[in-house]
Amino acid sequence: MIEVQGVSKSFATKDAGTVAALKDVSLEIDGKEFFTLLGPSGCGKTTLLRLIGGFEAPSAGAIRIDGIDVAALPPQRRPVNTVFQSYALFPHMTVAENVAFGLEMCRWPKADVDLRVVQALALVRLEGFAQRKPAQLSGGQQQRVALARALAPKPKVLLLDEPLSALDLKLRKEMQAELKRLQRETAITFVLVTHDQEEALAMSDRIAVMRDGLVLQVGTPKAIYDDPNCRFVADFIGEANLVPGNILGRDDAIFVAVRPERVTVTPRALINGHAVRARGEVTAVTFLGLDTLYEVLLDGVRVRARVRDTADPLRPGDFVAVNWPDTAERELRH
Amino acid sequence: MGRRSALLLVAPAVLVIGVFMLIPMFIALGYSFMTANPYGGVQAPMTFDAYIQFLYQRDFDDSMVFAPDYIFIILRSITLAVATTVICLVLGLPVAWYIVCQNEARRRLLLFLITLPFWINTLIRTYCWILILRDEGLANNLLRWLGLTEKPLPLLYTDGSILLGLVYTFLPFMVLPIYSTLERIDPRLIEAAYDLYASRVAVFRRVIWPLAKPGALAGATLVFAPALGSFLAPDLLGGGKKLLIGSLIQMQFTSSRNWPFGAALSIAITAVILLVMMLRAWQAPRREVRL
Repeated sequence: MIEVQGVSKSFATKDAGTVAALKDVSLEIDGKEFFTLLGPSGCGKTTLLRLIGGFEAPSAGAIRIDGIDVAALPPQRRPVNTVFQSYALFPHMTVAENVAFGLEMCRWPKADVDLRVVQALALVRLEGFAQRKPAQLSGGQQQRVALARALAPKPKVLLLDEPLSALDLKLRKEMQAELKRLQRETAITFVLVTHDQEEALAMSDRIAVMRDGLVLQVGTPKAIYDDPNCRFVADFIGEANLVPGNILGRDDAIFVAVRPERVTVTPRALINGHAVRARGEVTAVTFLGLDTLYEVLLDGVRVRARVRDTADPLRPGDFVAVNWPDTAERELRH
Repeated sequence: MGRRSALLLVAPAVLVIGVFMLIPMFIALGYSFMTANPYGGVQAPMTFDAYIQFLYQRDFDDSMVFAPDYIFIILRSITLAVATTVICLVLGLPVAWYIVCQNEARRRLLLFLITLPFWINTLIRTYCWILILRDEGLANNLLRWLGLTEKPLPLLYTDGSILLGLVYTFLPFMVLPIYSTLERIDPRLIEAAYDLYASRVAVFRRVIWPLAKPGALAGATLVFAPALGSFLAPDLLGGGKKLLIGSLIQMQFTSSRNWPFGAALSIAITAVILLVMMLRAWQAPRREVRL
């Protein structure tokens, strides 16, 4: 569907130098997929989205949509629509005029435009708002108008640039479900950009984790969560204990990543000669509602354990044994 | 903000407009109903002579004949002012757009250049155009040097030279308000329009122009009103051959020593400008309903 092949992008800086926003990135996004570009700010995810949308031209490499090289096509000639972070609704037009804009530009017949506007507004549950101006809408409603406007011309790909970042937590959760529903109903490829790993895990079919202009790992949320391929991914997606170590008999230092929820903590009184991975002292206890987070100091290494059964909570200063199954370990070389 | 502090904040503006605009206007209105003093100024009794002079001519047998001469002068002035406004708009919009598209440092430089002419007296700048346009001036010398003409072209003392002077003088008043509205347009809106399959022309017509219109209207008002009353360019560049309303009014207060008539003419063009503004105000809410 979308092939990104060896794409680099550098921008000129003020002092006549250049800064590389993307370094030889290759990706394939399948049709009807909910694909997320995830990474911290400055990782190049938005640049990649803008390259797919046609707002920037790559310095090197090729982008193909449906097998067609779009490098030379301006945004108005790509079968791609964008939901902008700031929504970018036309302030002088009503909601209906905003949604109709793309259709009119494609020279749809008037009757079809009217019908499609009604459909698109129904799709985002904004019937009855057609005659309002954007300024009269709440942030969440503006977001829906932006979605309806981008979906109305039935693009092959919908690009979403941090669409939920301006919404409050509750609305964000609601819109996550809504976006997922829209993607299922419209069967359009969605490419989402976000820095919020929870959002990415909740919505995506596949995620590309990016950092410093590079794609570090591509996979399903579960694969990335269970099998991170580097320290950055392990730490960025969910939480991870990164325990430094060596492979026996070899020199190279590695890290062992263990998710806090896979770590068990046993009070000293209950060890009874069971096999124990390490012993240490509880240094902090954080109550999280359902779970309790313990921080245990083992030989200079701090390990976090997320424990559900808190009938008899431990206190800072308690001595404990810490354990995790071998299957919970991931060896990371970098 | 309390009512008191709000009143205090608007007070200086009200005071300035009152003292320097409204009071002189009412004085002019009052003078237009007085009798002319042959040595300048006005005297009693009250009369409608000035307005009668505006519309009628007194024949030898003392009968009044309708004479549209002054109305034609006003119409000619309006035509020139409208032409000035339209040309300023057509030139000013791309200039403002070009400035908006530059980076911060260049924008500041270009805006400075736009306001640079204000630092030199308008009279001097207008005289410079005489030096450029006259028969032995820069323009004609250049044309002859290039071999494009043999005899000097009559550039000066035409409607064209008046128009040139007016456009030159008032162009910054069009560029600046348009610039300030264009500058506030979120560039994402333009990207969104392209993203939704709009052509360049459609982006301008459907997104940029509607958002820039308030600035263009403000600019049009700022250009039209002073262009209508202007007398420097018509006098110097038009040679005073064909009268325009601005020069006519100025003459009444100087050589003709007919202050009431000058005041009546001023009231007449003020009425024209007010009429244009009222048309605008009347159109604005209608536009709101249509959208």
